[in-house]
Amino acid sequence: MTAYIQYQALSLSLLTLVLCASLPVSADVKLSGFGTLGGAISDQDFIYQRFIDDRGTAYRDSVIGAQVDVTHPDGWGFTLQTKAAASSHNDTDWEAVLNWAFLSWRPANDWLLRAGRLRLPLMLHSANSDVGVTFPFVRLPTELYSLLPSVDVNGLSVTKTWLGDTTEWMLEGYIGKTHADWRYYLRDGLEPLFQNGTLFLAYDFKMIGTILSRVSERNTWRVGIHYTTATWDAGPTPIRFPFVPLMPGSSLGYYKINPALPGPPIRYAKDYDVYLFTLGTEIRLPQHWQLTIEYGRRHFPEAVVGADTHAGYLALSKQIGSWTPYCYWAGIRSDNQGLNLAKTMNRNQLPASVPNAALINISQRAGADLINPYEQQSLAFGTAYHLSRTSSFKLEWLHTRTGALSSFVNAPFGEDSGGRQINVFSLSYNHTF
Amino acid sequence: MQYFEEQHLRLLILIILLFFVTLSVVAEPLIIGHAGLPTLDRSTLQHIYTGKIVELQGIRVIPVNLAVGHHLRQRFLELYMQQDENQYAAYWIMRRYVGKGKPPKDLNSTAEMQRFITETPGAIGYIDSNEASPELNILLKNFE
Repeated sequence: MTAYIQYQALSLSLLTLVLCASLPVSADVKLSGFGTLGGAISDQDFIYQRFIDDRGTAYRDSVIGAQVDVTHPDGWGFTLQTKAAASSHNDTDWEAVLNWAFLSWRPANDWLLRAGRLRLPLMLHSANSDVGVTFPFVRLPTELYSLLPSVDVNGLSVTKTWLGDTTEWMLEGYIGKTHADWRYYLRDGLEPLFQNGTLFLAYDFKMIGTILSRVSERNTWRVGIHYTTATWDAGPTPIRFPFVPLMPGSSLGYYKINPALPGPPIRYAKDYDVYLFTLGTEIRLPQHWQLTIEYGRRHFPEAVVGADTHAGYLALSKQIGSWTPYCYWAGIRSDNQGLNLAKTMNRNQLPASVPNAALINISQRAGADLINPYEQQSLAFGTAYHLSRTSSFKLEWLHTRTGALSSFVNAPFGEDSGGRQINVFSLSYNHTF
Repeated sequence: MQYFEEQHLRLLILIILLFFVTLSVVAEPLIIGHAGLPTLDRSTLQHIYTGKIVELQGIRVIPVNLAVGHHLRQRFLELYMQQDENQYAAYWIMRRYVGKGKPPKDLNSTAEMQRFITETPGAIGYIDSNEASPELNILLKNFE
């Protein structure tokens, strides 16, 4: 891992050096950086949101990054941003990654073209989600800000702006692709396919989408429609698991999760089609109050999976001098079909008298976990204290209740992720320069 | 009676004189630009200093600011941008970290700013109105 980080850092340094050396004298170079040192601890002995348990962790929220902006008077620019944070490929390492490395061109006031590695503005704070001083929350609500495993793509983005005296409309279109891991947690292994524990399945994502924004002094509105294909590295993806009755017409049976089990074949597709619909608003109210509402729909039209979700949050904050206290409610729920399948599969246990019952029962629970179901709500109360315009302390109490099942929880062996209550206490220091 | 009228008149003249003396002492930013740039309205100026307008009549504009803490910068932000330093900085921190550019370059003094504007095509900045001279291209003054 260290070698990988060194390789990434060396590559970035070389790239930056080459670019800086080839810059015309008139180009303006600006280096900036950001970082968050965050700690979180819960009142539960199982892991929540990848890292948080009653032993505490600094992995969940800590991040450090740097950015180089190069602009030329002719309208050309180059932006490079790199960060080091918890790995998105496993739950144990840190890694350095390149968020942005794009060329930009403003041929006129109303056009912006960008090509290279870009961060998609899926939600209101997706593009700046690593820079803690740009929003009051300790962390952006996980329920919504986990729509995709990565919002960094290699591609092209075109933005057209209509600028009025007090209102700005922006229409952005993009196309790109990326490679990212989708995280699963299996209480029981599905040998020989998967072992129990954390599982990262690698996918190639191809994305196209458009976002319309309206920004004025009093409020911001954003709506986006996105289409993604996710192709699993290992081959076709299962989209339907057939139910195999032990006797014709009987409800006693099992869902065929493993191709080795008897029964009709599992239905596969070459890739997942994923549609995303996003809607968000920030409304600045009198007396320095602010209302933020965001909603995201992740839809898999072909597959019955728990990742087919509705998610959103509603936040209210108020600036009082250097303080910005806030509270928010956030929720996520899988679409009925996927959630019901996961619930049914999770509780489907054959009696011991059935041959291979133990093996089949384990496969049902592993199948429920692989479907990736979500049903949970969170309530957070916190505050940011702004030490200066570039640094802040934040404090938060988050209370989460899971419904039937929630893939944000690593359920202990033999138990469920559903029906849990988790309190998380977080503290962070955020800085930018 | 005439004595009191004369006293009133003197007092009035004194107040008017004091008013003009005070005006000449208070730093008022005067928006200036490189030769050839057109005059501006306040809305256009705000869009330039927030990175939303990058060209005017086919000329690429390069806005520059005085360094953070300079009294004339504070007055410029207050008068023309209708923001304080924190709001302006917060705007640019956000804009930079969504990949939409970086804030205008900071210069240390009005003399440096005047030199930069004279030498750089498309440059826009501000100086103290007391430093105005006929050869400067004045783009906006008191929201004309």
